[in-house]
Amino acid sequence: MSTTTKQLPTSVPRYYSGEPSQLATHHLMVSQGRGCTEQARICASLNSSAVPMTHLSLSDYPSSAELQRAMLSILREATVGLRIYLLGNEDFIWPLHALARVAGLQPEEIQVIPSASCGHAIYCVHCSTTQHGALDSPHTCTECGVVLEVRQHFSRRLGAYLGVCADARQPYAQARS
Amino acid sequence: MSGFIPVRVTDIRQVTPVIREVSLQSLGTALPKFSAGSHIQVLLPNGKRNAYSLLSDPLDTRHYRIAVRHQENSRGGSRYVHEQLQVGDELRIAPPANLFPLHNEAHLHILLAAGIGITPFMPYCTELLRRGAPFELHYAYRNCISDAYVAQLRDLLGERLHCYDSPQRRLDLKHVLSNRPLGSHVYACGPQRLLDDLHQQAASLGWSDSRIHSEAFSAAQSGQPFSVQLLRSRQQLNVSADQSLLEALEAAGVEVPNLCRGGVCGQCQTGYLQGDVEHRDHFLSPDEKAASLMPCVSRGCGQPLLLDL
Repeated sequence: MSTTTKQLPTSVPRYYSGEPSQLATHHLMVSQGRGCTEQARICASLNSSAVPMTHLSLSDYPSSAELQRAMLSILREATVGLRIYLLGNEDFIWPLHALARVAGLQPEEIQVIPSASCGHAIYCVHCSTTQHGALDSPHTCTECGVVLEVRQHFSRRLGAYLGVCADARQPYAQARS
Repeated sequence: MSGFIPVRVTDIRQVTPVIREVSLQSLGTALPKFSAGSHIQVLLPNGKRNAYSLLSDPLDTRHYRIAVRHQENSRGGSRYVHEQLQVGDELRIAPPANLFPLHNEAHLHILLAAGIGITPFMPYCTELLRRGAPFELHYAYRNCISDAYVAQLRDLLGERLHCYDSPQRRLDLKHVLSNRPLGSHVYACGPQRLLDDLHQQAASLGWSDSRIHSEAFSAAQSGQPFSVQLLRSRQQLNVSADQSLLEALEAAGVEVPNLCRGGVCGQCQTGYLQGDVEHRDHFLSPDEKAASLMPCVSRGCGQPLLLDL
């Protein structure tokens, strides 16, 4: 079954190109890794824009929590005019998106740019683990073994698509024949 | 549209030489509570029907208060309030509607009022003080002409109030909007020129549109008389120079849904099949104007209008 962008439910995020905002007075880029070509391109275009750019990378911090603390301390001091660019897996960028919203940024001031390489995050609603996989085929939960149908239902809070038991007659991993 | 509420004028106060405050009390049950920024439509005995912001405490269900500025080019609404309306008069009002609400996500509310544009901010201040929410009010006016409620606001707001007594001290938008914390939102009510300047200045300082909330002074202006034909009800109407098309439709018993009566809310959008339109609204896109008009402000000109009504 093919779905065009138009038919996607509203909960499924649309991603844009990562072009620097022309209105910004300051850019903040927060990335999960370093060195992928997409990130290098965006980093270069932010650096070449006329306004200052700050870059936080997860690789410089001992944990995601430490990176989030560093981002929040920047946002606390920031003024209107800041634009933020979040790069990484969906389950890395969406919790940061939520923090940025609470800090007072508007949705159009936040660009989320997922890395294409490691598939999508899938949240198993039965055992509450987030894992990576493809959206268009059933996914066997790596934790509880239930075969999940990945719904077109994206949780911005979790940064993941919801995976629900595909066959109600086989609700447990061990029941699979 | 839901039913009108009968009210009595219980007090009229001259707030400045050009601004009158009118208190209204329900003749029946308690008035509905409203949210800060709401307006009501007032049906005057002379057939005029205008929208005015509510000034009173949103939780006060005994009285509503509005303030009306005398307009030199009045089509009859503000002149009636200033010259003929008396304490004891009975009027009808439409229930409150809000096209200018507070933005609950904001961490800091920056309010910009010019002249009679102070009216929606009176309940804003009441509500924000009640919530304990951070805010400031920047108020531009002409001393002894359009300086309604300055003394009252000074007592109420203290350092939160910033006054700009034109022309001695001008409201400097760049100063007001610079170096603001991330959760700031700005609200403006005043003439179109203030709103245009605000959008331009805010954009140059990196403010995105969703942080900017505004309400224009919006009311129908007079024009040339014209006539319209109604396709479905097979009527022909003549619209006089100081009457709006919406008022002419209402006088003929044709009800069109409406809220702002000033060309901004989009409720009264009406299709037309023939004729030339002088579009005066701030709602329709250029494409939509080819087949739709806003009868609250826009008028026919040139070829006679045929409306899909």
